[in-house]
Amino acid sequence: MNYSRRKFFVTSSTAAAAFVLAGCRGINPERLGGQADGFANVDQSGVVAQGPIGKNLPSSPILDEVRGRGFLRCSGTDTLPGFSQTNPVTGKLAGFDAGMAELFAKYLLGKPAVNFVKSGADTREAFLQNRTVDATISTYTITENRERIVNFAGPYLTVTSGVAVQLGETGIASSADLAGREVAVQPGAAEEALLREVPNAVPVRFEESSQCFAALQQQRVEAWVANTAIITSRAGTDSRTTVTDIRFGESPFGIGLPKGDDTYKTVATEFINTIAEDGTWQKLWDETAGLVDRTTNPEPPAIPMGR
Amino acid sequence: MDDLLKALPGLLEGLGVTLYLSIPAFLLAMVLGSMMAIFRVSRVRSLEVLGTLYVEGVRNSPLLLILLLLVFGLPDVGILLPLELAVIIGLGLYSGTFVCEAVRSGINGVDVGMVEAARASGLTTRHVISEVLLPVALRTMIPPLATVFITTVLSSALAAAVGVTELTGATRVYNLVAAQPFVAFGIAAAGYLLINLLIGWASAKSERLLRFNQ
Repeated sequence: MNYSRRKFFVTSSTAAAAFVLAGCRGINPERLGGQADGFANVDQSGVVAQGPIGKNLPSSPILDEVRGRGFLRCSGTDTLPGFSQTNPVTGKLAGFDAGMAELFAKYLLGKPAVNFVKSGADTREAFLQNRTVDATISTYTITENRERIVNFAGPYLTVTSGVAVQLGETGIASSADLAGREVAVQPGAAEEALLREVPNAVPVRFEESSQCFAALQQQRVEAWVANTAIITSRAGTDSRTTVTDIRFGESPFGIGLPKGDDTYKTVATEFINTIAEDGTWQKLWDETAGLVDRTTNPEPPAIPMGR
Repeated sequence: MDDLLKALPGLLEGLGVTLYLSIPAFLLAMVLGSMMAIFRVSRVRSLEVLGTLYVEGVRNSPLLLILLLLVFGLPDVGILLPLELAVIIGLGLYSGTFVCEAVRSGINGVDVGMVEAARASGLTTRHVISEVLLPVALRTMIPPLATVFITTVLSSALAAAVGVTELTGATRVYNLVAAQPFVAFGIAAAGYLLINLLIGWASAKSERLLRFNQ
């Protein structure tokens, strides 16, 4: 290596290193999502440890298979703060839905053994239909079309949607004002709730709630619709955005189960009723999504048998 | 079935958006890639370095990362591109690297003896390039370039992850309502197949045309 070339390398690598360092200093931890938003301390393990174990559970094809295997295969998401999100420190899934999955496994097996399979809104039905998983707990809204091909136990939680806007926005006072506007949503429950309420809104779909939030901050969209827990956690604590008083829609979330095993569905329904009655459900809410969303405070479910 | 009829306009619109993203992206890739290929064979040191940096830098990043940078990174430095434009630029940048390598190998693949013979027979440099080098090189470039085009169309599905409702995004919307994943994604696959069979057909046709011209 001759002198000038070595000099070129030294100079350019110094410049590159400086550039990288400058970049690191400029990173805002909130942008990385998850940590600075009030959901950092979500941990449902204490509630799960006290969760009930089902007694005299019947026999059915799926229940027998799960018992034989020794763990529950459950699909869900890992990007929904307060419901099911990977805790970057522990690497464990934390949130209300993650806790429901562990409690369900404990109810069936005596231990919270869950094998988590990631699935988006696209693959939930397919995973249940081809028996990749035994259950789907993933803010999974119960709808007529879906009930034709999968079983639902529940609803175990019914949430309402909220709207976040940029600070100083005055044109959005009711849900009808969202018509014709670009609204950030995550595919799935939030998107459905928005289009049911305001069919003329223009949904802009981002995979993660942190991306929806960033799009709102960067003024790429005029509003962001998600359930009140998520909205409050992010937009309520930021200086550029604010949560409006608009509330709409009711999304009943159910535990998705494969079609054809009604005994299994009955057991799942009994499970929901059991944790609602003994207070586990309320504790789980308080330790997860309820940590941030103090306003919603949903009622524990009571599902009539045979639903 | 009712759901499907109701969803059809949305799905067709999605197909249109896929074309709207991938055709300009491929044109951008052609211009950029050809330019960089010429840089890389130019024997001018600085241009060669520029071409190599571009290819190695962009080709070795996942496309999703490039799209996320353009959509969520650039606004932090004050550049807010419309979502569709960001996707077209990202796709074009990415596919451009593959165009560059296809064009470069096409140029390098021309037999040196053929060029020397053309020179020896008294053709000017301009004529050597336009009458001998390019026709031969172009013909060998067409199949790899068609592959790059097809990959561009398929890669445009990643736009669904950054808020653009193209064919894959429209399919997801339909599936959310109808809860028919196999039907839904079967339709999307058919849409991509249709576009890409057309590209394959056009590629075979232009290859034949160039052979005829010899």
